[in-house]
Amino acid sequence: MEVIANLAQGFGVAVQPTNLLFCFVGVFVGTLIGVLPGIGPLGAIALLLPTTFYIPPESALIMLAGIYYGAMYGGSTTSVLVNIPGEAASVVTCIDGHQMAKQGRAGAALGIAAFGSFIGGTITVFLLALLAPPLARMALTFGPPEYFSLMVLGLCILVYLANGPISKALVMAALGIVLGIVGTDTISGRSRFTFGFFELDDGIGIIPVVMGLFGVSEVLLNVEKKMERSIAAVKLKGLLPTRQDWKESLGPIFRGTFLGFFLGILPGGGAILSSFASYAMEKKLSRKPESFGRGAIAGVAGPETANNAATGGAFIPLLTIGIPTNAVMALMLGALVIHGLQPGPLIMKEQPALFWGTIASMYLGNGMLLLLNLPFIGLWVQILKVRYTLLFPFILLFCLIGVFGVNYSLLDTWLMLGFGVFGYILRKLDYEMAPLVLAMILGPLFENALRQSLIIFNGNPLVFFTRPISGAFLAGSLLLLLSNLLPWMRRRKKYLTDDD
Amino acid sequence: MKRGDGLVGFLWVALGGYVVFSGFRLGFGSFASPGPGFIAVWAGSLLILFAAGLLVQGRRRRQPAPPAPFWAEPGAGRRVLLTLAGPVGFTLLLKFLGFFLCALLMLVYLFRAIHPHRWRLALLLAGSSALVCFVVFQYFLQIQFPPGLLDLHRLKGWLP
Repeated sequence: MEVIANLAQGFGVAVQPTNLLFCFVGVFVGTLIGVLPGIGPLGAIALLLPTTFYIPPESALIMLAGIYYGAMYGGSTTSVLVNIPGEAASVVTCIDGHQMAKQGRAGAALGIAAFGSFIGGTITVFLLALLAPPLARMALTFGPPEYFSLMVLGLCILVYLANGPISKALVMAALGIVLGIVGTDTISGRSRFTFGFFELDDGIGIIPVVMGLFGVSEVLLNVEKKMERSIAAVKLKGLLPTRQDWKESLGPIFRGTFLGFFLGILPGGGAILSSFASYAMEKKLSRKPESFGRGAIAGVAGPETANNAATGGAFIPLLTIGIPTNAVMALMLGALVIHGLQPGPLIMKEQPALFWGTIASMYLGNGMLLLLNLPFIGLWVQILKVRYTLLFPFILLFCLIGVFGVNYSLLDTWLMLGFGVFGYILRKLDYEMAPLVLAMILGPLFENALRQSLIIFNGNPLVFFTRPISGAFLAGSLLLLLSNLLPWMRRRKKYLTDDD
Repeated sequence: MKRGDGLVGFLWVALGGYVVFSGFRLGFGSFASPGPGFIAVWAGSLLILFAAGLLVQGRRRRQPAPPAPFWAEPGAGRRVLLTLAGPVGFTLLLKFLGFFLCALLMLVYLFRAIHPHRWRLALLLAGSSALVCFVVFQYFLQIQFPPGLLDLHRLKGWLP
């Protein structure tokens, strides 16, 4: 009953004309961003963050959330039609989606991706509404040691999931913590690593870092090569899946919903992990696993549903514990902090309109996406044809405007360009940027939790291991890191036995 | 392993060393009362440790082939530098020229310098986009860009 009353309150907020408008703007921009390779949801949210300063916090969060799940929808279009994922969570959709397009079934692939995302997104809203209140109550029992260990676990998961070598991901995480502590120490008031720039007293802004690492560096990586895209000769009639398509997709859609939602909750998890996990699961469960990679509709339905469901799940830790689980959520946290709000267990009670309004808007946003993506699919295909050589100057201009607009500081634009070059070099050397961004955002929270724990427990570091919840988080982190060493140990053993 | 991996690894070690040194200078404190440099010492130490691991890993790994070049395509480095010159110029000139002129010049330059488009298209796109951005960001979203040479802020009086 409580859930229904809460959702009713949320819908009351979400259907207000201004919030509907911001929701539409969010899902539209998100779809556009997802369709256009070169700027992901992270860059888009960072870009639009300054525009949210002038609107109420619930409208801001509704729009930013719309960009996030809208990008998941849009990403599938490029994956299916061009075999280029619009954003990372749609990588796996390329495998079967593009094969379907080559077989003349692009319409069915895009249709099932849109319906799957809608169903996944809808169920996720109800799961969110069901699970958020008890989780927030549980979070109230967390002390600084639990928060510290949870953040360690989040970083370890992100490092574990990194595409490149784990040692490089670990370096990035350590570097992120170092960047996160730049600025004034909240306890002693001393400036750290500011090099005389008073603008850095509040720390390095996350926007210049994100725009540099994801926006500018992406442009530099793309202009290096000649971007030639060929859009598959697709027939976009038959967007509604056939009865057989539905029969093959319903199972993957429901499994993808629950898998995506729960993986989305995990710190460090999120849409990318969910889509890959769903694909692997569907292939394993399929009676015809050999059809995967050759245009199996289940290989599109499952991952596309899972990545959308994960975006909803990712809101749970942010809104109930106050900890972002990925870089996009970290920017949402930034947006809320700019509005003077501190996400955490109390936000549900103190800001019910914001909390439930955002959740309800996700339901409405999913409906808008269905309307945007199916009838207007032709429009998105036309947008896909825009040459990158015409697009990248605008991406750079929007990055500059977005960064300058936050603090009106030229130092921020220099920082963005510096991080752009830095990110470009590191990405070419197979370093992944996500652990750096998350560690940088968690850095100050991480430091506070660590120092508070040590002060409260008289400098006893064992407290992190002896408290059950904290100990469990740390044990999980250790297991993850050790599991990464297993293949190396096996190789070493084989090498030694071969030598014998 | 790519060319540049080793150098970057050494840079991480050096950076970690600097962070640890600065952490001690800021004040490590003690476990019972951690100082402002406490986390810096730990984070810097971790950076050194992980970077050292990276270097050792790179040295141990057998190299069947020479490391891949940093830029695979000819002219790639030139294109990257030319692209970067656009936003660098924008940032350098923003105070003097103002937003509209800077945006216009940067867009024209980027449309022409890297993968050249026709002058007419470059000027048309750059001009119209710079104007739209000026009106949207400066007028509607009220982002305060430096007025610069043209001082287009005066136009505000003419707008509704």
